[in-house]
Amino acid sequence: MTEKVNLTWNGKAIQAEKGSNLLKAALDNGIEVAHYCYHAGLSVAGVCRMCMVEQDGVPRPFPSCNATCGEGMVVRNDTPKIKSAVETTLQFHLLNHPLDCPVCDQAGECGLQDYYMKHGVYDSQMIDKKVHKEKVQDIGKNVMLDAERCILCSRCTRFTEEVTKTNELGILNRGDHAEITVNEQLKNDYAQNLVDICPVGALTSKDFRFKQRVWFLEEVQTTCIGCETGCAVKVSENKNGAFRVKPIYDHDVNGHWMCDDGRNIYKHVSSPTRLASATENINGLFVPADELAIQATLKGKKAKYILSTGLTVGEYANFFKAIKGSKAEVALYTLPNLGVEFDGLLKRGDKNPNLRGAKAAFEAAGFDHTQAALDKMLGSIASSDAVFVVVPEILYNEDHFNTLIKKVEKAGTRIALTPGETLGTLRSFNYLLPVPSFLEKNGEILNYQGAARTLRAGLSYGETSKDVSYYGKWVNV
Amino acid sequence: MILKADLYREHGFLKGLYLGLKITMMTMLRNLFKHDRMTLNYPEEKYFYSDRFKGKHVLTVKEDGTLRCTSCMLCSTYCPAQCIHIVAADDSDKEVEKAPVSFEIEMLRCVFCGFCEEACPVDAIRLTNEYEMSGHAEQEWVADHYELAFRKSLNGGRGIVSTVDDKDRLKLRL
Repeated sequence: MTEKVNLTWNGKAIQAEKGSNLLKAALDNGIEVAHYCYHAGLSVAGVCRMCMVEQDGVPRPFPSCNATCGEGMVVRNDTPKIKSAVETTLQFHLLNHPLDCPVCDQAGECGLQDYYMKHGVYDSQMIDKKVHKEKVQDIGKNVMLDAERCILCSRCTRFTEEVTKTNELGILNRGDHAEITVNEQLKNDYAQNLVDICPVGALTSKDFRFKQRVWFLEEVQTTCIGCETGCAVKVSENKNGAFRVKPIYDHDVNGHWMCDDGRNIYKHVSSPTRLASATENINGLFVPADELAIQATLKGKKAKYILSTGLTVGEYANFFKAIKGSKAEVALYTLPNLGVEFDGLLKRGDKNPNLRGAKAAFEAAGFDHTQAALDKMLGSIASSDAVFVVVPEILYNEDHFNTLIKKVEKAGTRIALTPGETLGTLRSFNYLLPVPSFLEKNGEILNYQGAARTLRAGLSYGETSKDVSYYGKWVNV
Repeated sequence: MILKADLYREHGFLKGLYLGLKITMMTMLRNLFKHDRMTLNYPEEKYFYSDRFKGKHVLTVKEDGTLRCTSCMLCSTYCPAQCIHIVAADDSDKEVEKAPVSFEIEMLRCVFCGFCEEACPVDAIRLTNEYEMSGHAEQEWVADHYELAFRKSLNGGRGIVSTVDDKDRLKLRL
């Protein structure tokens, strides 16, 4: 337990960690303080001058982000002096702002818009022409830079300097000619966090660019299934599907950030090639099929299941409950490691989101989860078998999965349970059956720490009852 | 003409009937010989509403003939009938940056309230005094941006150029 200090903010007694800054203390206690440059995950710069406060006994206002909490401090930010200071500062920020909100993707979640409504001076006093800078710059890694919209809060430069330590961005020139400059294209694996931390529309995502206005989206807090780290994320979605993934602050797992690979995890969910209903393969043509007819073909065949590591703990438990007492064989397909084991920040080479949960469930049910067991099962496949393969949601390495499919081809009936896109490699299956993706199911997965991470079902997705355990019951048909 | 119940009470039935019909007859005769009738021989004769009438939508164009719309989606956000569907995309012109690739209005759902016109920050959508709309199949009632901007009735298919011209807009940085 860290030491606490007591202070008074706008007449309200609050507690703060000793040594933390005033702004953090206020934000943690739910007090609204306008700020642009301060970010809890970055160092303090004190350049935006929005978080000004007055302290009893101190003659001049000072920025609260750069002041340390002290015992018995009496601080106010609701005085007329502070209000006029914030208003003037915001006016200064907006001097050269192009006001292209209709075009800007940040509109709706923009710091400038928010504070303009609260602290704006509505009549412009500017008589000179605005300074124009270069718009629409693709600076790599799915990030677009619009130098005109920038208010030079330096969050992005501090991010590349402190978090990724790659230093691609910098601020060049002076006065109103100062602008964010890219000395080389972005090359770090965390570049899209720049889009999140940019308080204005200067850095926007190329992937999300012009897809939706943010006020049409609702956010679902869930967990990233891109690797075993299990970062806390929110997925923005509406009835047309999912559109983007952003990190949520989680002290124990991911902090403020997430990697660029995790930004793509939503793409299969609303893909046009996503399977909607049971499908039968008739000489390479996939046509809708009746589930009862598929069940009928399974009669007298030995069921073999190859599960993926992307299911939730609950799904594994339900599945093993469903096949209990039958002679079905079950094995686990583990995704191969990709890249370095751990890149020092968040990204891990092990791409199995719920490997620990899967192993625990296999052991609890008395099945072998090892690669040897999978090889043994694949070696013994005969034409009298019906093989169910649960396709992993995100296949980083399709070739590795193809080798598995090749070995399955000997079986008489091959059924793929696919939560994602209909891949070309699934052509060798007899039947394709849809299972819910990570955005359509509630449950828990165990990340690399063994900690339970929650998956939440999205807002607008359809049937989620037909998960893997539903098809597991077919073993007893 | 107001039917007076005491017309009968005062004058009796026959005279009352006569007095009542007299008004009707006078109006009929006046309309027969004097041409200040309210009805028109539609469609040979047409009524022209004022420019404030809220009829069929038009998308204005810039001087170079491209759509003025920047697809900010404010109209579709504001639309109470949710009948405006816009798909935005990058424009090759950096000054424009964002432009619609598809702009559709479901005319059957539209309530012609004119909120889209009010919401538009760039004078890209207007309601005209055009009131003649007809069609059979439902698909005919989805007006795409070709119809909305370049139909025959709008300067013979060249579209209506918005008065705020682009150079002015850039100068003002509106």
